[in-house]
Amino acid sequence: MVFAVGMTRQLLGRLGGVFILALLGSASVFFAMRMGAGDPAIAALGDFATPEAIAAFRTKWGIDQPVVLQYWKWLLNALQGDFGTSMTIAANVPIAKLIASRLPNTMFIGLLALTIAVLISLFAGTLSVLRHGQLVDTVATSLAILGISMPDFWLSYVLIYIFALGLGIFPSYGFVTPPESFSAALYCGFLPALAVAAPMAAAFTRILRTALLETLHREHVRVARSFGFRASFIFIHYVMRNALIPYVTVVGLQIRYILGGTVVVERIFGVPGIGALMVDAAFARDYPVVQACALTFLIGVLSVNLIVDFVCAALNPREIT
Amino acid sequence: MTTNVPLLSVKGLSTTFTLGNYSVRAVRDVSFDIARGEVLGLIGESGSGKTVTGLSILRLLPNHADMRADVLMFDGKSLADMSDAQFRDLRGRRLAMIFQDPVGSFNPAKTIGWHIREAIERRAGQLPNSHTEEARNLLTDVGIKLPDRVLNSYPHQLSGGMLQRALIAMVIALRPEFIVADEPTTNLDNIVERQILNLIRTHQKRIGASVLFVTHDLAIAGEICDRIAVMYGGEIIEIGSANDVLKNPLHPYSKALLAASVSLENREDYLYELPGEPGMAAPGQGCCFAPRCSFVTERCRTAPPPIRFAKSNHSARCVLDVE
Repeated sequence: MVFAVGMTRQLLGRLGGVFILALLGSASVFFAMRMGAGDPAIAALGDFATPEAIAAFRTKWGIDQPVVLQYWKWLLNALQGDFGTSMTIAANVPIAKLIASRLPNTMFIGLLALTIAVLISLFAGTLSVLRHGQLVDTVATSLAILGISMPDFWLSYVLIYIFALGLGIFPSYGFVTPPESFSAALYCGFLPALAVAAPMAAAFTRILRTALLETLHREHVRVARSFGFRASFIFIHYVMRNALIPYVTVVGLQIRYILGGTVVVERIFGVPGIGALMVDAAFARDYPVVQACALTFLIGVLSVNLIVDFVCAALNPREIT
Repeated sequence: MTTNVPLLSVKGLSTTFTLGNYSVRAVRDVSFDIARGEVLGLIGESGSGKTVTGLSILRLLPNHADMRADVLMFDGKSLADMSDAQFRDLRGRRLAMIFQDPVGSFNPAKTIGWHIREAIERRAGQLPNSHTEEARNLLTDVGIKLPDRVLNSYPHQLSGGMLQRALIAMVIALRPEFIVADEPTTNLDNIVERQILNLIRTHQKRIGASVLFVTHDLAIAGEICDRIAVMYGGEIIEIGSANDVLKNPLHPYSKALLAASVSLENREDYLYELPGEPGMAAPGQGCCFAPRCSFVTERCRTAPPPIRFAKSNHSARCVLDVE
């Protein structure tokens, strides 16, 4: 009971925090975009547009008004769930529709990347601790350093070169959305997800290895051995269970890199996701689309952090107040 | 209490820790027997090798430790010849240990109830009723007034004394024949210490277990132990019945240890202290206590001291005459 009340209050408090951060974030993206060079009118109408046509475009989209007023109008509409329509890249298409069609693809790649990273790290981290100081440990640790040092855009091209162009196992470009065919989406999404996952898998492996080694030498493990429990039982319930607390914390902190990673990787592999949409919109000065994409990312990161915090609290009995 | 065949027989036990090129012999040529139902006290200063002796017998040493023994017999079987799997099965069924730090002994992610049920399961195997009733009874046996509340608590929610009771309940649940108790009351305050000692004594008698009781407290050793072994520099330098060792110590170190504790009891203005610092003699050289001994002779520095007997069951490692 007490637990549930505390949780609910904590959740409400955190949701309030998410709202305020989303507000601040949207404002900073809005003003930063307006301060940057370039003009959506020229992007939409071309370099040889007449001054009259440009003026008409600016009036139509309201970008001739003071920036603060523009933000206020945007905010009022956004709070009612109306993000307007695209200015340049997909003229007059409602942005909510653009986002709705592309968000599942980004989430799919992101979740796939997270799954790959977690699976690799659980396997490699556990193996390197069970074979601590042996060749496997050295190889896993070295690969982890390599993985952390590789930028995702570079790794993407290496993966394309090896698996698509060289071995021909995976496609180098293009995507099938999960509702069309889940297996095809897995197949096309594997390389982009792997490119996003590799640096994360490396970071996760390192933290898991450190946390496991630290827990392994705690007194309660020796006590468990004195009770003659099976080694596998001790490893799962005494070692892994306690190492998961710092591990999940780090996983939560790293998840935001998935979103950053998808921006680049979606462009390289031709995945129609939010990241690719945001890059295209930014080049075309499509203010409201960039704005909506940034807000989506922001809310995504904040919600993931929220979920991770609650998972951590559930894993650690000390955090229940 | 004296049977012909001891429950545990240790002869020539040595344990060495090696890190890189540096190695320390923490336990050196230690020998003793423990009869069924007997409590043997292992007393000495910090670093004298008491804890390592206990851990060596239970094979709980870290990987960089190397343990050797001429004889290590438990109930007629050689422990040294057992595989790790065979030995693991012995631990938790016939051998158990009570540790120094009750807070660190528990898995912080699990409730006390989980720990106690796992301990019961270790002895009795998996049963459909999940052992909650027995867990409750065990906690009542170790003097816990609200067993249900403790069963549902996490370790961080309980005091050190409460946790040590719970750990003792886990050990009792195993009904072991031999228990190493490694300074089980060092981290507890005096009143709780008394209660825990009584608890260990009571249950040890009830289940008929033998105990290797590691402590640095002579008063406690005198109360709880049948026999006492005094350790210094990794060696047992004197062993005998609790009465003989405490009333009529043979070894200069035992005498100094008693003098220090007596001066504390009499509230003297100047507390007796032993000059110098504990150290370990290199193997093959003289007596490890020679640098601090007030009776030291040239003989002590050159050759290891002989074992001399005052009685058939009271001996010391010293060149001095015993009478």
